[in-house]
Amino acid sequence: MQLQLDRYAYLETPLHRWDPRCKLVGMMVLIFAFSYVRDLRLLPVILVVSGAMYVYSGLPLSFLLSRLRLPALFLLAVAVILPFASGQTVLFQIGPLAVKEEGCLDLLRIAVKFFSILTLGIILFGTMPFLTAVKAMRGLGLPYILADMTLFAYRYLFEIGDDLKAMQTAMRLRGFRNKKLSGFSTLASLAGTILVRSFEQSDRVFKAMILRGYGQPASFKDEFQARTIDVVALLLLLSAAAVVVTTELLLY
Amino acid sequence: MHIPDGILPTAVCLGGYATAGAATWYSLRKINQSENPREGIPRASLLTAAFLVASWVHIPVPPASVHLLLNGLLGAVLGFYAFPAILIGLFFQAVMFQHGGLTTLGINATIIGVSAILAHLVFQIRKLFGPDNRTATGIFGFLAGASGIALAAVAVFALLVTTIPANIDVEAERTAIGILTIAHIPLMLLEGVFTALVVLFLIRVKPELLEGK
Amino acid sequence: MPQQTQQQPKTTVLPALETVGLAFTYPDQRPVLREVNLTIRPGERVGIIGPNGAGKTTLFMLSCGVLKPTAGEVRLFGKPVVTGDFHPEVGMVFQNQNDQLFCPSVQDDVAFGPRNLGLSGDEVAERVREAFTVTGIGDLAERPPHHLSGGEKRLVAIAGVLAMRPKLVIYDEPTSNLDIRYRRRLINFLQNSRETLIIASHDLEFILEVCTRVVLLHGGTIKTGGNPYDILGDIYLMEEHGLERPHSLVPHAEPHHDRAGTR
Repeated sequence: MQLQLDRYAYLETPLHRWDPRCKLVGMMVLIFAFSYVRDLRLLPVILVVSGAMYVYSGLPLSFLLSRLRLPALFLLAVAVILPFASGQTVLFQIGPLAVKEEGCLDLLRIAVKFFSILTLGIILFGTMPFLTAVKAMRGLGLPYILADMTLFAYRYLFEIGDDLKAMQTAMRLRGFRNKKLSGFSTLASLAGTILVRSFEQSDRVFKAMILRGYGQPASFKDEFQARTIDVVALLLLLSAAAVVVTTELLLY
Repeated sequence: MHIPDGILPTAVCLGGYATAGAATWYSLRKINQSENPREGIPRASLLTAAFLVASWVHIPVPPASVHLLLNGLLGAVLGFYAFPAILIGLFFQAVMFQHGGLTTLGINATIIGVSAILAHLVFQIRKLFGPDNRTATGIFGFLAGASGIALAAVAVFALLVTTIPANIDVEAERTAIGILTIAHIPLMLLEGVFTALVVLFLIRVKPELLEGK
Repeated sequence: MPQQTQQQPKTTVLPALETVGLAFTYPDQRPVLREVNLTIRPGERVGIIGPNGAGKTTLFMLSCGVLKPTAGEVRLFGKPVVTGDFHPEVGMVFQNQNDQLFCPSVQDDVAFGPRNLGLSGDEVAERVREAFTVTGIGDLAERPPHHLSGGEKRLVAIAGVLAMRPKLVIYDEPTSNLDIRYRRRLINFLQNSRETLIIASHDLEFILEVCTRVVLLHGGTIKTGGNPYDILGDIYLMEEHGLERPHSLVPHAEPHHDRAGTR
């Protein structure tokens, strides 16, 4: 999993080199601006902007497609319902079901926004290592408890995941087949075991932490240095966001 | 239960961040007031990771399988750390798996997190029957698990109904709600029983886990 | 000329670690340690041997101030150890490296200790560089601990401890989970280290190569101690305490080991 996430995070494109804090703020503001769009005429704009940014990011298309595969299933569910349920103007009939115009437009709106926002999110977190993203958030003011919890949870996530796989393999080797509901209590014990092990490990980890000074006033050197170009890019994105929102307000 | 990007109005998303921020602020305050705030951090961090991993377990419900939300169980075990844990868990899911959303992180955290805290309170009722009462633990474990998902589901439906395109005709809406509600009843039972079983396992193997902070 | 008796100035070297009547019992359990009197002088490399459950890890936790003794006292370099206080003069390398590598990257983990010492950003970077050089793991800096081998993790843990420049380092089962190359690397490393060392290990050959003195802990007390060859070579002593002599000290019909004992 980790490999997947940080796989293209070490490339050398301008988006990769963009100061993480500026990137975080700029992209999130743009994402929210896109989420505000309702007018149909702006839909192709946001789609094109997201697509262009993705190309500029140097991330491969295969990466985007693999990340969009599962969420697209959700969209399918919506696609099946909205055109038939929403609106009055009937476009055409499929048997007893009437495909309505408003429903189709709603679907279009949701689909475009969904894909644009997800693409921007993938750019944001795909062009820097996850660890850097969390540190950038800390640099932007995330409370130390949340930052610490995120970092430690991230550190042990994969290990605990591996433990789970090992336990599942061990169960399978002893004949457990996860096919019927009768295995329910075994799964509950599995979950319980994961919790207990993590709990016990956290005790030892805590001891290791205090031995190396956790709880002392710690110094954090300024981890990020924003260059002028980073701030310029941030302002660019903020302006773009403002333009989108204003246009939306004027059109609608 | 995770609302994706693109369907909710921006105002609601921003409002969700505000409520999540408030709930986080309150939780952090409670944590800082406890005896040893730093001690709880490694514990909560590892349990956050553990819960995320536990939610990956497939529960076979023929013909398919489901993943449980486990917010009720999380609330029962983590107490005040439940909200930050859920916020972080949802963040991981949104960034790593595109499950949930970035604009909807706040609202998802609020819905699932607040339900978890309420489930925690429900679970605490078991103490009225004696701290080591296994039957009480089992029953309130079930109630915590079921209510965790029930509250979240109700909140999500209410939100979607009030914010989704107003073009949907009332009849269709009513039927949809009806169907979704009925579909969630077996899920509630599933989460309730699972939570009860895990909680009974914990009280036998590691009762300190259920002390609740 | 009047006779002047030359008085040598009395230089008492403070022991690195001193425990007096140290005892510990977990609540509702049997005592783990009773009456442990241990003195470790600076520069020594002391091996602690004994069967499982003898209380080695507990002893270490008490020495570092993580646990509070039920009785007795502990002094580090002359100063009493206060439970819960930060004692950067002592560092401990845990048995399970995963418990000790809790940061998401090697770089962050090694920097953790120095940061908590309140050092400036540059000083922290300097300590990290130093620790990397000494342990030879510079190329692992950006790696997530999750992907490291047992040997690499061990070295990162050591780097993280050394970055705080402790005067006393405690190693709890350092050769467990190490392959032969890393074990040898660790032996060379420890033979060249300048800190005072306390090493708990079941790997008796390792103790022989690294330690200047051996202490036998069993049943919560120190049974005996002394020269590693004498202690570890005493078949009756070893068996009495659930241990075996290391292979190199077992007399052979055809001698093919020599008592090197030099470092």
